[in-house]
Amino acid sequence: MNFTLPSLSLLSQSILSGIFVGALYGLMGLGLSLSWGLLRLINLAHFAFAFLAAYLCYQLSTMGMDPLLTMVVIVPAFFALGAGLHWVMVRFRVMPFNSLLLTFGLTGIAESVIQSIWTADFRKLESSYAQQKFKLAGLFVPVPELITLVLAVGLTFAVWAVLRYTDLGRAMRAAAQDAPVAAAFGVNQKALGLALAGTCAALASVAGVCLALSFTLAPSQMYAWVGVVFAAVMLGGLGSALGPLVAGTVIGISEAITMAVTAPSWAPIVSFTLLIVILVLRPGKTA
Amino acid sequence: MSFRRTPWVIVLAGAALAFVPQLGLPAFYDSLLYLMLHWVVLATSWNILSGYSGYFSFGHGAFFGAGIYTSANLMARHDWPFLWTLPAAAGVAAVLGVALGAVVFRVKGVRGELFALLTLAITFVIGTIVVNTPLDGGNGVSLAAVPVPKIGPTPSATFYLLALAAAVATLLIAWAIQVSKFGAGLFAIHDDEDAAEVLGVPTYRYKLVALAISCALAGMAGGIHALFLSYVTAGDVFTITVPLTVVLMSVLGGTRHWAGPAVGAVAITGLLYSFTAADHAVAGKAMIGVILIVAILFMPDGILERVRRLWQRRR
Repeated sequence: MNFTLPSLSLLSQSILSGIFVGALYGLMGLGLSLSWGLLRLINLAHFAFAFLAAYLCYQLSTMGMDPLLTMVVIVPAFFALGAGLHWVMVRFRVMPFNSLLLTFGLTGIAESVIQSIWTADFRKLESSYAQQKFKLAGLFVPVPELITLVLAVGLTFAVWAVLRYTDLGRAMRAAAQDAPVAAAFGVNQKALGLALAGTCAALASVAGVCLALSFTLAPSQMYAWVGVVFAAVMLGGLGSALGPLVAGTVIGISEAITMAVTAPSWAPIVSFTLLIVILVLRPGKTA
Repeated sequence: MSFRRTPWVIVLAGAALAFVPQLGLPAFYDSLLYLMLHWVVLATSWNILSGYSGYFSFGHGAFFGAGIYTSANLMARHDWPFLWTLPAAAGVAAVLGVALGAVVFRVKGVRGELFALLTLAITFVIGTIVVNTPLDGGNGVSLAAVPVPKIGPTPSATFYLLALAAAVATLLIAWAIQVSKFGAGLFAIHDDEDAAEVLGVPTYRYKLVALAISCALAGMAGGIHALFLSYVTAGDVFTITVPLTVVLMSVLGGTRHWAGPAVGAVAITGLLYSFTAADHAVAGKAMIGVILIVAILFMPDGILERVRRLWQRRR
């Protein structure tokens, strides 16, 4: 391990990029955390949804659509997809652990579909946003990453407010805490579950559009996100709306600093060591 | 005493299969059969802890990888003969497993999906350490210069026979555990750990021993696989693929029976091969996904349990 002390401007630039990538971790983790915490389903297909959405965004924008405008089509489509998947899960009474395996199967299918349509080559979305960046207080701010950050923060707070202050959110939290009692108080759990699963998939598709905006896409890249995003979800607390964003940003920044101080290949160790420590020291708080 | 026949059946089947290299099949078949047996060892060893006691580990890749790197480094850097590296590979993997288990199994809350995640995280941490230290050096370890011992008529037959021996040993161990008091204890942990503890099952010690056995067998499989690959890179070893594959095989075959993972391993390796051979590798991946989904939805207890129930209904 070689330590090199980076200059101040390099360090602050890498912290900034850590915040940006952390926002995407948080956005990816948001839907995952909600479905795990409130529906008790571990949805690996969340990553498949995000990548499918990213490729759809890529496809639609090569056909001349504005990448951000593609969300008008993509988000409702994925809401339906997520609700449909949840209907199957409920219909067959899938256990939490089996949901992990089942959605892993789905992820494999999605990967093959992506590979046969768009090939295994790397794809990069060429949009009007991609090249834009501006300088703020001596730091470069790329526009696609900034869009991701704004969307992540906005959606996180929107979900948080809905869960906390609306009747819908209260019903959802009640159903997760004690399903029979909630049902006795008139909570329509079935409809609620479908809506929530749909929302999770819709959030995944937004994360996918952000992914397409600022990252190079390849079908096998899907699995690269699994570990880090799971770490963010666990650190943030299952079913929490603000948790993934906060934890994702912490992980993103610590990764960026690790990369700047040592070598990029050391980066994964930060998030996973954090995850292990959290799990061992306070396992009750995360689940 | 009908179940006491089982070990003899395993040994006899193994002895019969040992004659396959004498048939003079193309070397390719030896390799395919090697891979099947390799996955039988990995899936069955995983099942000893995870299937029996319900602690689904996603860290099998870490112990398998520890075996691979122990064996590869001893051969490439210290000129150990191949066969001597295998006990070392098993030993290192077991020590790693016990060290991990001694910490994790003391924490009451780490069960179910939390245990799965924790073990997965450990895989990535160990993988990162291996890539960044001289164990791998970032470029992988080449074993091209290491001679393959002449156990079978050809190198591929040698690997096949080694994997066969490992598979027979693993299946015997898995069977012996299942019918013993130790196995009953593990199944009790699976069903209700707190009740098992109250009824006098030493849950901590049982889990630790099961993990040690499971890791040692995975390490041994890794040691054999290192020379089979002849070029090891961390990027291919410490991934989510190994644990997911063994979980898939075991769940497909059935996790509450010693033979379940072996059934799943043979089925999935065979399926994957038939798709790659027909040049439909991408379709094969999708097919595996479909099979997994169908298996989970329609036979959540595994093929073996399903077949057994059908059998009982007919009688």
